[in-house]
Amino acid sequence: MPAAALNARLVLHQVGDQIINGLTLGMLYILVALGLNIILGLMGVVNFSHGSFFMLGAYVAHDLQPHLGFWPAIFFAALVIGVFGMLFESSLIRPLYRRLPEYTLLLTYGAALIFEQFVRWKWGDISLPSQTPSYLAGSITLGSFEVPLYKDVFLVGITILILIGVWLLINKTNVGMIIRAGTRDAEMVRILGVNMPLMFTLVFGIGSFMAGLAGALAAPVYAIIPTLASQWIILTFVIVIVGGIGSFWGAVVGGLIIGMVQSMVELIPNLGPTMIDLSGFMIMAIILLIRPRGIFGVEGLFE
Amino acid sequence: MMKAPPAAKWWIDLGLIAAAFAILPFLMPGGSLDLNPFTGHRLPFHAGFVDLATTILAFSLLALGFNLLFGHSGELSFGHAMFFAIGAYVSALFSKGFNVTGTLCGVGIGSLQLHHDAVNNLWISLILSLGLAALSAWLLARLIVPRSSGIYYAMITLASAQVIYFLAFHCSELSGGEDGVQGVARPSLPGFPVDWLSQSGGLHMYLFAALITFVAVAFNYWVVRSPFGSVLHALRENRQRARFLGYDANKYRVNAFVLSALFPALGGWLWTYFQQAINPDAGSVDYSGRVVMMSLLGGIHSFVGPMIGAFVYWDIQNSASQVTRFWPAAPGAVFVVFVLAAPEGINGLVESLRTALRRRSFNETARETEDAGGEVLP
Amino acid sequence: MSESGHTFAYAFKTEHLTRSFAGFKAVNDITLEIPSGGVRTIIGPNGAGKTTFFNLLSGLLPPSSGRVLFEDRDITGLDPYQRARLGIARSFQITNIFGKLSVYENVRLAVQSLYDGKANFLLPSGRMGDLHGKAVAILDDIGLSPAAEALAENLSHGDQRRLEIGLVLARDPAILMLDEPTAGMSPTETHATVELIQRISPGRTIMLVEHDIDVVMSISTTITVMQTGQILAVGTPEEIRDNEAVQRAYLGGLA
Repeated sequence: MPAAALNARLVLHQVGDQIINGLTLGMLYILVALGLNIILGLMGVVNFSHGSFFMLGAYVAHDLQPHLGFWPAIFFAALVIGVFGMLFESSLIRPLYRRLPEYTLLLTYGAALIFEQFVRWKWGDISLPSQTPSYLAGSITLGSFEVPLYKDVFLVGITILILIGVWLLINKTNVGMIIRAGTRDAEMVRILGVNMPLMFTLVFGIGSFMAGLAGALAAPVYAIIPTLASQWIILTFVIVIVGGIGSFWGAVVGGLIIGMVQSMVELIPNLGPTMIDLSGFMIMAIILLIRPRGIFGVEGLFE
Repeated sequence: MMKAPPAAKWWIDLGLIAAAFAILPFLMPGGSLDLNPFTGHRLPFHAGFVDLATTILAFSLLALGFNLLFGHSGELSFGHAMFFAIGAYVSALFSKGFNVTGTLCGVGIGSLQLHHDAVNNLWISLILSLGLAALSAWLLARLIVPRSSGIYYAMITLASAQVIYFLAFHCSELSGGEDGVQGVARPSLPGFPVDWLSQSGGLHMYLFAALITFVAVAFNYWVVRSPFGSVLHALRENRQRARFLGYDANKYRVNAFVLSALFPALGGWLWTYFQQAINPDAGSVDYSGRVVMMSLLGGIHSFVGPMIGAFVYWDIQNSASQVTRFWPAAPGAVFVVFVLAAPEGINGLVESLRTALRRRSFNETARETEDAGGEVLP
Repeated sequence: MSESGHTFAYAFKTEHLTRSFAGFKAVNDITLEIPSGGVRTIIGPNGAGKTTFFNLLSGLLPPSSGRVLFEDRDITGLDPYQRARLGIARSFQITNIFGKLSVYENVRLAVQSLYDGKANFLLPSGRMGDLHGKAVAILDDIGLSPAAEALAENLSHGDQRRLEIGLVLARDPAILMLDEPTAGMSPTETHATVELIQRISPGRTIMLVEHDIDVVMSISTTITVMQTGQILAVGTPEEIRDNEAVQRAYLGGLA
């Protein structure tokens, strides 16, 4: 085979691998960003601790796996984080609703510092060992690509199922109708007699559940360390800004774009490592220039 | 015709701040501090109280700049450490000189060099630090001010600061990467012995920092009391009303952002010569978050609040880091309590205590006057 | 008084002005001239689009389509602060003042805005002429001198509304737009406000959105009736009172 053709096939292969990687990363971004965005959209709460919930989901799943098995551990870890989120909201965030939304960001920032130290204290500074069961550890062959079974088939598939579920919840149920109406005009929904504090707690729980679930799903694939929370939360902010505050499709498209771009820029010679970290912010700057409210954003929400 | 409200006695306020700076090195707790409060490592030179006091001054500048936005204009910038990093890196690189050939963070740049006798260029590095910080602040503000406000603004400033952090991290050919720039020489001051700043166990450095900080504090004080400062307060209280009165709100917001970037840049400039080293952490969320915590702990609606907050924050961090390696949870927990229960900070607590005392003495006076059959107020 | 106030036949002119919210046309293709001078009142049932129309004229909202002209000048794309500098001032339905600043500081800031862009604001305010004197004159005018040092948020509702009128007076505007200035006021407060409006009306155009029908009938030069985003009728108070379409649509709706 001529060298040029071989080279072209090699590049094609790398691009294919990165597309698959980007899809997986994008799916996790979507899960985390959607949780944050639902909370932000309905309640105007910027939850800096959302990254901590993602991280805690990974650690809790890790601890539950020896007792419950792989899949139940993931589900129950997410459930634990969801319930914890509800307690967190009703005890610490609820007193702040009368104040500027900025104060929720401040409070959850302080809480994130505590969560990070808690994780260091409980699980240490080094990353968790991966615990994928053997039947998920292999790959399937798609044409000339080796696609890792858990990372790229199960994780992507489960995320899509969850997204469908959340979409149905928001668009086809009473709870969802209230969420959608409340995003536009919380006052009006309150006047209509909906118990908004309960609704807020419930929504906060759903958002936290999704963060915990993303963390539990990510644990076998990505290095889980205590500083993960702050890295992820800032990227999540970027995704929400790119996609649009309070928008379901904003989180989906924003997460996919950032995941894909981060994955693809890795292929740029020499610049790769820099671009992985900077590309998200570049996209954010471009979006601000051409569409300040984000791709699916609505003018005037939370200003 | 009514009289103008009594002018605030600025010389008393600034005099008290100057007096506080004079006694600050003697106020420091924990007699045996020779640990670097950032890393927990033993400090390379003998330090003690004085160096912690210098640290507090540098961070007071950061907090004062931040609070020009949050406290005075009502806008939360969660990325103000980026200007601290810009000031610090500019002065470090300018003082040490650099020589990059080939690529910089993966981009071919040919050759980038600066060689000179850095020791005598203190003031040029100051102008460069402030100038570059102001320029980047202006560009950033032009991008985000017309397009965002409220929590959106907070999220965008937080994300923007990460760009500076990652640039410092990745452009290691110039910035030294994760290790940063080390071995920055302390400059000599005109009319003083060459190594005067390094003499007397850090006291000279403190005196120099105190002088610089005081000038900046006085400038900040002037800004918030000027008609410009009044407009910032108006924007904080009710931006819509200010616009409908004829104020170009975005122009003020951009100018406030640029002004507020000068103080962290000055703090970073001082920091470089004080620590003689700088690393990417200076621009991290961690540092930006500390500044937010300091300002709120002290009280964002008072002029001295951010400085009091810097003092209290370092006190907490310093004490906690001697007890546990999980010390960041301590300022985090104190901060959470303040956000929930005392959002006006220490200043607010003192004020409500004073109001309570005044009310008590007023009530007593009232009772006495009533007894005498007179009137309390004319 | 405003120098340009009387040289134009109309204060505002709108051409096919439309604003829709998610498909609903709150203001629907309004072409209208609002003559210069006098008290021009807009009435109409709730949801008729009165406040939206106000917002389009004052620049709070951009129109979906159509144009707004002020004294022969197209101001459709101008920011509120630019309109304010042209001499268009407005108050809001919900009181809009600087709550945590003193009453004096509120008014002083309003006066200071005259110098925005003309003076360096980092310099002491003494260089901007007699800010203090002008602020005091306005405080006297609106009767709030005794409360000058109180925080604006601590004033009574009526006094807050009067303070807001004081703020919008500071620029000596050619057009003063007041959105329900007497809403929530006691009869005494309403009476005082009506007097204030009559006192400040010479030499400028006052535009009112008002629900109190007694106030409307007593101070209006002309009344514009809006319904479902459109103009139903324009006329003097007497003409409007006798207009059958208005009685059906609006007065009938009240009864």
